[in-house]
Amino acid sequence: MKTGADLIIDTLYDLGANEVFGYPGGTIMPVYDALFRSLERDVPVKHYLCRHEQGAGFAAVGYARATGKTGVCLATSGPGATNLITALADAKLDSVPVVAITGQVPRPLMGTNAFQEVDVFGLSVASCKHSFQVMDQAELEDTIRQAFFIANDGRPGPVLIDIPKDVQMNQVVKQAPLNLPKRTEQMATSTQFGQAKNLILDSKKPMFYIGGGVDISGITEEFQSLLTHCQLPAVTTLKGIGSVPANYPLGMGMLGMHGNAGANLAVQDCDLLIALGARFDDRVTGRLASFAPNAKVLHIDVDNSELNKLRQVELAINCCLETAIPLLSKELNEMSINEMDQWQPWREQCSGLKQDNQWSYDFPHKGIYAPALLKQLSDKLPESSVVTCDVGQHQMWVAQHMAFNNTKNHLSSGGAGTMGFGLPAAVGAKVARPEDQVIAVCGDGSIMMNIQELGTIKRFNLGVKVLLIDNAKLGMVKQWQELFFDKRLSETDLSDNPEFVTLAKAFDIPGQTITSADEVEDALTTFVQHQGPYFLHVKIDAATNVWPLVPPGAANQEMIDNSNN
Amino acid sequence: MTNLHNTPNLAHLNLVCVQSSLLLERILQTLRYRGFNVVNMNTLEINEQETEVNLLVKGQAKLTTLQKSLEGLVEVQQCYLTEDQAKLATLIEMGLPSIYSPPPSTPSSVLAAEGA
Repeated sequence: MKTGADLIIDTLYDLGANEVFGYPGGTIMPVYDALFRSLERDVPVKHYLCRHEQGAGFAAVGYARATGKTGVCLATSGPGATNLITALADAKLDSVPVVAITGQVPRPLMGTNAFQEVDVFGLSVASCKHSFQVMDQAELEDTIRQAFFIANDGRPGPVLIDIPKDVQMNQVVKQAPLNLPKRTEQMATSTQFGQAKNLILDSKKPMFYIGGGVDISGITEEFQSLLTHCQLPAVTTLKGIGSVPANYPLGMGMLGMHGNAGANLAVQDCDLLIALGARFDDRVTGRLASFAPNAKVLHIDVDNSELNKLRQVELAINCCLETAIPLLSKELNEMSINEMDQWQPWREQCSGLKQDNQWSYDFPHKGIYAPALLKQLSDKLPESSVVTCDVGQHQMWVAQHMAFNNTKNHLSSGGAGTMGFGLPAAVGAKVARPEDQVIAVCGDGSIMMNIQELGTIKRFNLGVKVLLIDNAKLGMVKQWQELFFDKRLSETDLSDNPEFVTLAKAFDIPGQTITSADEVEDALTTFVQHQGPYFLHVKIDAATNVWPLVPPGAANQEMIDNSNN
Repeated sequence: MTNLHNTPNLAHLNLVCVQSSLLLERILQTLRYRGFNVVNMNTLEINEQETEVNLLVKGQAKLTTLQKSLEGLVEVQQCYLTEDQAKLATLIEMGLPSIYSPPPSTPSSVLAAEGA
């Protein structure tokens, strides 16, 4: 007869979750014992021991985002579980399917302030798509299957399962019937797509506004065919980068606070915004009332609560893009050449804006110019490479200056903006895609938040490459202090950073530090070609800031650019 | 173009939900997150599988977003919204929203389908 813990492992294996991330502790020990015995029981689930539960959570996020599969992480009760919460909140805001399993104190001790007892269910309610607490071992398999279903159904998100230790240890005599919840309803009608076609036909300046939903729906290829057919301009959000091919002539790049000026100006001038899997985030819209002021909006999203949430739209279609894009394509494929020719002046206008707002890599100073460094790296990497980021200036430079043709290759903490995301997400991505290059582009502030995951890289000899962009500052905060707080640089100096390469070497990871522009080419070549993990520490010109920037409360056409100063 | 209202909205929500001991926690968290406070609340067991939850809520945020978020909860099967202020005044006088049976208003999914 199986224990509850055996059943947990069996169910994970059956669901295809044969690689999990976690950290053991008192109340999750029965599950770790079942993991230990999983090979002999012929249900091999490989566990990747991270060095912090938050690292395990982000590794699961990175694994999920790099593949589209469900990421799984394990932790014990109390602090183990609370350490997972940030990663789960990150997964919720970026719509990532993750299942977290936490141990809980035995049922007789619950509610007694037992050792390592925290109400993690209560904590998780606000940061997860759904949460379970399993109080009967008979319900374990059903609950885990429901969790995987919910994590992936409709708009994906994290699901937490809290399991008391005695439930894990008890024998499973009988099981509750399997009972999957309702599927998210698709309410779209063909009439709506006819209306969508009419909106597009009536517009003179239509613009695609692409969010992360296109990739999440697994419909990128079909969307790109639609784009090629219509030859309409497109902008992306941070999470939409990669959905529009990097070489698409009318791909205007990322819009918003640190978006390309051409993208922002084109959106401000368009008369129809076709929003697919995007959510009008404040980092995208700037001052909402002034966002795309002349545009009607066609908004298609699987999450009904995103429709008309911020922007009142002309046509809202609550539908998974997997269904919507083929229907939209069908309507638009019926358009004649003459009908599509009406957009030629708009295409030329957008081409001009794109041409006039190309990134410049001229840098008059002696130090290393981070945008140029990342452009060089991008040019050297195979197209299949995965790049993860932390959060801050380097994150925006990656979004601006590196080319991606697949959203699953650009893993950036978008909604939550979680510093410390990049390194553990790279661990998860490398486990998921061992044949592909995986690069973690980190900031010197962010990397210190999860630097212990170098230990995970060493333990499993994962070929993760770390590119540390070091300006000895919390750069993005410093930039805002310079611009909006009269240059009062409060607590953003990090000039006492450790010797990063020495630190990497302590984990048996080779590396080097470079400080001048003439070292970049050789260092990047070594970095890309090195077999196994590598740590490249780049001390950049510390005065470089991210441009353009839409100031808080401003409209997107009011962006400022001091890059020549 | 913004959705920010200056005056508090009062609304009655009638939810038909799958029974769960964790249901109320999720509903209340959703209400708070979407910017509403509970004025009155009542639950009624319909049968062994289903519970009816009646809520009188107040807030300045967008009611349709709240309604759609509640509809998105796994346990919620139906969610009806009543904003008629005269009916709500009567409801408050009567004290218990559960004894008031609102006419089924148009679900948000239909509104979306109509392009609202």
